[in-house]
Amino acid sequence: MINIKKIAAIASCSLVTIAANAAVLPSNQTDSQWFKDSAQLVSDKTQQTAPKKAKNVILFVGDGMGISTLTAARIFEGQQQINNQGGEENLLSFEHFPKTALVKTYNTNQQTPDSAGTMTAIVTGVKSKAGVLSVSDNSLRANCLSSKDNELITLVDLANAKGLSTGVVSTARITHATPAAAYAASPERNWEADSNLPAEAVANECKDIAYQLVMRDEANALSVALGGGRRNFIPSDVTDGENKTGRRDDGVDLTQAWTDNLSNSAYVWDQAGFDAIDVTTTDHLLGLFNSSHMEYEADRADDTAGEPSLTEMTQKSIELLNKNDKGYLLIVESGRIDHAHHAGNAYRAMMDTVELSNAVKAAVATTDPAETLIMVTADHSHVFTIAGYPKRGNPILGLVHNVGGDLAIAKDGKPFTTVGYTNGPGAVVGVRDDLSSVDTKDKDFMQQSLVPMNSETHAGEDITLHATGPGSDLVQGVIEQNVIFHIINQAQTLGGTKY
Amino acid sequence: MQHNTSSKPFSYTSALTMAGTLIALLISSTAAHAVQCESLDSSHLSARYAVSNNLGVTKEITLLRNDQEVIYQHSAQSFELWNTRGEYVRYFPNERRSVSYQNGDLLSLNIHFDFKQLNHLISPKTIASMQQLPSSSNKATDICMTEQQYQGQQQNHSLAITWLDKLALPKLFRVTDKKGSIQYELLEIKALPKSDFIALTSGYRDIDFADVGDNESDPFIAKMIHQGFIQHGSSGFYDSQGKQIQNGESGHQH
Ligand SMILES: [Zn+2]
Repeated sequence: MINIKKIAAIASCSLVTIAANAAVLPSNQTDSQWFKDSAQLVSDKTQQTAPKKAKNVILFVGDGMGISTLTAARIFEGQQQINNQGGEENLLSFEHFPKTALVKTYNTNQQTPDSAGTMTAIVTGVKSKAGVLSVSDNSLRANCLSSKDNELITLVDLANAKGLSTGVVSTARITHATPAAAYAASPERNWEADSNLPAEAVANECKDIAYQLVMRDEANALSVALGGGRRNFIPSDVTDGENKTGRRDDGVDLTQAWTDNLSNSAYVWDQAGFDAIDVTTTDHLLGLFNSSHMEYEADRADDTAGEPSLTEMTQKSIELLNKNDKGYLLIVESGRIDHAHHAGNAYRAMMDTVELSNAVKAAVATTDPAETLIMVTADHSHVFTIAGYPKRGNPILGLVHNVGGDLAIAKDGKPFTTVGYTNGPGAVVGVRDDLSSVDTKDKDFMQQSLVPMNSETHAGEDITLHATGPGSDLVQGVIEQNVIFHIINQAQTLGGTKY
Repeated sequence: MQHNTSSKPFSYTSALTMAGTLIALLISSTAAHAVQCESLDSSHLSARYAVSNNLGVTKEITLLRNDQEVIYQHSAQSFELWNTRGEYVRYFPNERRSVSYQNGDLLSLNIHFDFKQLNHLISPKTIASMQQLPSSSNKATDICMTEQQYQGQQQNHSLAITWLDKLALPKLFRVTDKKGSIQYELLEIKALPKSDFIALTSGYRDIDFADVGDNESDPFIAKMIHQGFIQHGSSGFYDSQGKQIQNGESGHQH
């Protein structure tokens, strides 16, 4: 009876509110589609409730995917859709998620961070310095001895200990900083193969990152590891299927060790092998599709032996991990948004961001929203800007055209692009190129920048965290990056702390 | 890619844009009978060229072939490798460091190269577009040195080539326009065993170009970034359109 009264009170209250609005707001306001859509969105939000405990967690990380990258990529994607109004109205798949937070990314020793320190924060709950993987900042970078007893337990360790299945996917080398922090502890992100280890590291028995991926106890093994970086797993005197040599000096073929050591295991290295994998009979899948990083999405079709897309790798991983009734933890990195930005090439950064959005969409479509927490974040931003006053619908990679449609002209009498970089290889040295007759939308166009540097740099402003599913209510406010660990730890009851 | 050609100490474009009277250089035709033909495999050789312009500025470059890969040495500080997989590697012998560019890295930098052009100094397409002159009495006693003469026009440039068909390399290659000329003259050619080629590129600590941006704390990378090692070399090659190639890149920023 009390509940019914309460509901009645709420209902009458909201009727009063609407009535009051009707009195105050003119119909040209309340009839506006902008008004109606937003009112509906907020109304829907009042109905949102998310359970607190997640059976499964999927964490997507867009390497270098700052907020300007999200904005530009959503417009880029929107402008390729039929019946787009301009592109600006579009949302990437995960921008529809109900919960969002801003994330502070600095490393303990750097205002503008790198991927190693940031991913360490995400997977261990502890911020650390740039360049180190899942070791605390008491460790010196690239010093093995100092890292001893400073190794940190990761989400993967906790999830495996709880009996969940775990997977790591990346379009970068799977031994690259972001994916590596999930499963390896190393004072140096570049120790990807044993040939990268200095004498001090060998003497003090630090293991390379590829070794740490494969040589885990079966109980704490990854069920899925998909990405690039094949060279770090095969001996230097062995040539792979794409005619590239390995980088292991210890003579160990870790792809062989994977299949030897783990039950129901498989190793694949090309699209055909990937497609042929039967997840019902495979419990441990290692896929290494490129000697180094996998191709940019823009170039993927040209790869020698063929590579699966991030979406395909995500789907296959979910199918395999989903066999565990206790649940799973899957970490998926889009690793090359960062590289395209470093090269000052916005087109490829956009394409890889859209592909990440596709992968998230596929994950949402193939999981139960009542039991799976899906989060999307970045490790850090880039000095990528959206500028000028282009008219609505102006091609995001094009030259700025004013609202009247005329070409906007800078003080030097030349046109300029909407997107650009504060620094990088596209820097203007001397007289700025006249872009009047240049197709700035070409996939190989390098955007202009201000400060000349051979490689464009990371940026220090906040990035975003988007969440949907059980536990997503914890995603709110402006948070330190290491809070992401605690959200997963709490939602999935991983037992990492008091929760 | 910025192509600030005025900063290049020696380049095709600057040679052609330099004011001055064209002085046709007289070329010695005694090029380099260093080895006998039977010991020369056109896929495994080293060819040293003098590159000079009409003002008499000369430098040397050496082309090293190993099947599907080719190296250009043009300074003591660095040499460059291209292969048929679309990859490019820049080697720094003093530091024993190298930077590898995968095909996607090159594309993201708007760098495109023509392996055949690099492997033959001149694109076979360019030669095919030129007129072959009737052969004069064959002076060469060695079949490797059997010459064919070609001449043609491309984009307001006159091209003249003395071609060694067996080796698929020019003995002499000259580009001329109304402002000046540049030419490549073969000085020496010798066999290059595969093992020697491999030794030349072994023992280098390599980094992918894609990883340069995340390794600015590496002193070598920091120094090289400061010196502009990626884009600002000077190789002085041509592409099939007769355009200058810097570090294997041709064309210009879109
Ligand atoms: Zn980066």
